[in-house]
Amino acid sequence: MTNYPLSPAEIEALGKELEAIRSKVLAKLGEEDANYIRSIFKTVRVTEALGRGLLFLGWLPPAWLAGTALLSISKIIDNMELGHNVMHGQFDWMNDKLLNTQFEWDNVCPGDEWRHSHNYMHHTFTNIIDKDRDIGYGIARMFPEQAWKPSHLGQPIYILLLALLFEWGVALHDLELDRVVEGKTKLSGIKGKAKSVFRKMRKQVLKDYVFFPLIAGPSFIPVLTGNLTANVVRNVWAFAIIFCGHFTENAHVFPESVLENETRSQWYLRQLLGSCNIEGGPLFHILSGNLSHQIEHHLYPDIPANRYAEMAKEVKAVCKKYGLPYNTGSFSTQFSGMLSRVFKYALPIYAKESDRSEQPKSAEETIRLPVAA
Amino acid sequence: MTASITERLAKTLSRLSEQSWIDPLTANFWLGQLDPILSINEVKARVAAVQKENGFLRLTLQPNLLWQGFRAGQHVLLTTEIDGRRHSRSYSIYSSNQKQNLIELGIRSQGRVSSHLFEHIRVGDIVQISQAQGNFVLPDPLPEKMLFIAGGSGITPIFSMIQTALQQKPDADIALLYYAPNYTQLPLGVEIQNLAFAHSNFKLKFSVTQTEPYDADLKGHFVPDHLNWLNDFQDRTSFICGPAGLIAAIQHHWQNKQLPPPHHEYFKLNLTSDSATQARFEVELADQHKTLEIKGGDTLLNQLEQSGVAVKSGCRMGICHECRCTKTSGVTRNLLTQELSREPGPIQLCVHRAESNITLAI
Repeated sequence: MTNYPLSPAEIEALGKELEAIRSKVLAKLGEEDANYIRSIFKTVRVTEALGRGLLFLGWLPPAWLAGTALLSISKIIDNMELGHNVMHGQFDWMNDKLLNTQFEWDNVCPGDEWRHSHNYMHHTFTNIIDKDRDIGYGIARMFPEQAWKPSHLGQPIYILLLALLFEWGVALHDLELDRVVEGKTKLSGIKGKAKSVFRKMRKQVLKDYVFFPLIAGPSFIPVLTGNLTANVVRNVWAFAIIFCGHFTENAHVFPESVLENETRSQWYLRQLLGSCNIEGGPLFHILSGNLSHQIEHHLYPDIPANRYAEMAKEVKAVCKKYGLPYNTGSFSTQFSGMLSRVFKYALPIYAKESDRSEQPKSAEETIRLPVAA
Repeated sequence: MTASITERLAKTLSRLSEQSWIDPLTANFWLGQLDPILSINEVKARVAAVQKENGFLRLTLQPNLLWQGFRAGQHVLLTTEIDGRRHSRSYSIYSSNQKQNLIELGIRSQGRVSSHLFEHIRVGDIVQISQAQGNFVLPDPLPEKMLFIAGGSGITPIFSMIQTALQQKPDADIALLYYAPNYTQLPLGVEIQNLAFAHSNFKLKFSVTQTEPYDADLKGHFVPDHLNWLNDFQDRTSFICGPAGLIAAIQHHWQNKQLPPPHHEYFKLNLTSDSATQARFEVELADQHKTLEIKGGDTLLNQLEQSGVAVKSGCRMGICHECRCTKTSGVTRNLLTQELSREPGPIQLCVHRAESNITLAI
């Protein structure tokens, strides 16, 4: 409680206002939202069919380029706007038997494992040091509050590899292999999950690197390289958007103590301070799966993402009213902010109690309210 | 012959999708582009005819190749979409099962879904239905003598059974006692009378509960005297379908006469009032073949855990959906939104509490 710049009463009032925004949108959900997600699904399917179709003519460079581009877009939208949002349960209210939380997306990470590490772990423990495993994905040090190890010196390379192979990193994420290596978890404990991860990886590999190349006959190689490239493009894009979500220059992190008796309103405040938006147009919002509205997503993870843009206006107004920072910026600003952290905290730089220069500047300037006891 | 090839194709695709080599969402999407009735795993039907009269809707449906037929007396779960949300309701098939490629549903317009269908359904629409369900069926072989008692739209499954029985055996010994509020709210009344004219061994008696009866018709709700027009009701295999009050009265009378209980099917779900917090409910865990008793007031997650059932959970505050599981029947309330969930479908155990007996697919 003492970490926040608002009084307990103000925090509760803030929570109520944020909850009201949620209730208002919940009541409005209906045909418009159902049609939206179905049109997104259609887009994924049509771009996939066109992309894969063109790759069958892939010996012609324009066909290979266009096919790979379309397949990349299909995979990006499947990962971001379709998969991520549907798997969050955002469209469960539709009672659709297939377009619901149990949806399985087109990458090597199995749905069940992702739902556990993301829906539960990440969204519950958002930006809490040593609890939120998404901070640096277990391989990079993004904040001075995290302990430094000599291996962190190599983290720019690890991050580059993670970006290129992001779907594989995500798939392994829930296995918490670093805990197995450190001896905190027994190998037998992750056997079930590991089997599930292996099965999904096998299915994807067979699909993109065996089945489609084989049925392409003479176009085996262009289809194989096209599929590989599309997967890498999707990996890098997803990595970029996701890492901008919580690791920009002005992101807040929190100690484990904030979890004690955390009220819903305090949870709202932590989600707000720990998330970062990216400015952009409607197409950017779709391609980023509306994670350009990371703040709204973290406040309302199970509200259909197509509603985040309209909710953002009200959330911004509420932040202004309570003097809270609303962390947003252009893609280049947020991305370079994230990259700076990767390079800076590869080195053993720590936050000092007295050294306020480590604190986000904008937060410093805007949070000038009385501190709670 | 093409029918059997497509049938085999559909069955193969179905099996492949069960083993998750084919994604049903994707397969159904592309099949649907060819024809919206096609699906690898859902029974869909085209609306071939729509007839409305006096608040009773009759739909003639032509199901797709996945339809596995039905026994007279069964019903289907029909799913329709209202404002983006899918709703499912049970409606009985009233047509005879001698014609299997066409089914006729009888729907009384009284609730949200039935009213929506009444207003909006058109010939050519595609609806989704379940496979035929229900244990209230015409026995095989046919009993010697039968007595059917129908209350209101409870006539629908009974009409299917009578039609089917008479098609199998035109001189079957059948009696029907049919309760309705008045002569305008008498679904299938004309068809029933035509059957009675055509089959001399089919004995028919109406009773109207809210108006004056004609001729030899009876008046009011069931009393034992209503069986006096038959001299052998005790010897007949009996079937009853209608509201709970009618069924209770009949069962009581049969018990008094020390007769075996009649086959029955209820036509309305009993919903408890808001004294739900003091109430006790039964939760059936379908996959574990267990039924527990729980308290109405607390969340299902707490109640299940207290009963020693291992349930997945996460944030316990309705955000992460880890505790989500499927409710196959019953009514629950979402404590965050205060909304009632009446539909079969997924619910988050940590924020729902029971409002009636429920069944969970865990």
